[in-house]
Amino acid sequence: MKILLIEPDAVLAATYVTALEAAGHSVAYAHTAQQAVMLADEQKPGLVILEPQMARHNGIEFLYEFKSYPEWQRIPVIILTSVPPSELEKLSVLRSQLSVVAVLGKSKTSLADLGATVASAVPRAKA
Amino acid sequence: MKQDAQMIATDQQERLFLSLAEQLSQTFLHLARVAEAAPIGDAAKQLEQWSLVHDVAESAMLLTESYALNARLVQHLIHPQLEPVTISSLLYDATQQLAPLAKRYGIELQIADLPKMSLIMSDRVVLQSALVSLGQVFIAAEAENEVKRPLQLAAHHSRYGIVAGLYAEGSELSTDAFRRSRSLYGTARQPLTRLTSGPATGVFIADNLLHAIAAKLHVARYHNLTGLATTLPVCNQLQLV
Repeated sequence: MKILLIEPDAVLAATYVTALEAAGHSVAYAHTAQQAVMLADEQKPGLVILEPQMARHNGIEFLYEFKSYPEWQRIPVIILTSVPPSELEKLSVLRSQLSVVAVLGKSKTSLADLGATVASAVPRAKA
Repeated sequence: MKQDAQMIATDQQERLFLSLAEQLSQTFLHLARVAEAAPIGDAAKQLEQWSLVHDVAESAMLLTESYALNARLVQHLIHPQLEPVTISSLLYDATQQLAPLAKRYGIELQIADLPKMSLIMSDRVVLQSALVSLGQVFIAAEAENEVKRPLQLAAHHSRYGIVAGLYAEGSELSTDAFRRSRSLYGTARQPLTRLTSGPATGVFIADNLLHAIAAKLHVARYHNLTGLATTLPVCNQLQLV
C-alpha cells in the first residue's frame, strides 16, 4: 500500500516511516501542504496520514482542498494529531465529506497502534 | 497599580510554564516514539536512534535551563550581572551551542560578517540563553520547510544601538503577528503559526529573559532576511576603555 504521510515534525515522521515501511508499506513523506499535493500527484497514494497542525496552513482547510480533486476524493484519511481527538471529532464533516476513517491523538497512539489502524484502513482503500 | 503589575507578571509566568509543558510533552513524545522505532532497524540504525535521543534530550535540557534562569530572575532569586560583552563572541558561542541541533535537522547556521562593534554592558549569560532559545525554535521551524535555508546569526548598528538576532530567508514573521503571539502563548497551540507548527516556547522564553534585563525582542530585518532580534544600547563609557 502506498501511503502519503503529511507531518511537519521531522523526528516523528522518521519514526512513522520506519514503522510503516517495516509493515510492508511504501511511504511518501511531505513536510508541507504544498509538497503533499505534488507527492500525491506523483505517487498516487492509497491512504493519507495527516497532522492538521501545520505552520502557515490550516490542515483541515488543506484537506478540503485536497478532496476537491475528483481523483483524490475516495482516498481514506487517518488524522494523527497533537490536537486532542475529541476536539476534532466534533467536526462531523470529517467522516461524512472528507473520508476520514480515524482520528488518533499522537500521545496515545504507539507505532503498533498506528500500524493496526493503517491495516484496518487498507480494505477500505482497496474497495 | 503595583498589584495589577504583579498580577500581569504572574499570569505571564504561568502561561510561559504552560507553553514549556507543551514543548516538553513534544520532547517526551519524540523520545517515546524513537525508543519504539529503535528495535526495528539494524545496528547502524539503532546507533543513529540513540544519537537522536541524545540530541533531543540535550535540546530540551537547554530550553529548561533557560526557563529556570528566567524564573530565577523574575522571582529575584538572582539578579542580572552586568559586564562588558563583545557581540561577535556572544554570537559565536550561541552558534556553538546550537550546532549539534542544527546538524541533526540538516540546517546550516551562519554568522554574518560582523563589522567592528562597540562593547555593550549586559548580562552575557542571559543574552546567550535568549539567543540559544530563539535558535532552537528557528532550527525546528526551518526543518518543517521543504527547502531548508541557512539561518544567520547577525548584528548590525542602528541609531538605537546594536541589533543582534537570528534571521531566516523567506520568513513570514511580522511585527503584528509577533505582537499577537505574545498574548497567545501558553493558551493557543500555535501562537506563532507563521514561524512554526509547535508552541515556539523558546521565542517566549527569550522574550521574557530579555525583558528581565530591560531589553526587548522584536521583529527585525537584516539585508533581505527577516528574524527576531534585540537592540542593545552601546555603552559610551566603554568607548573610552
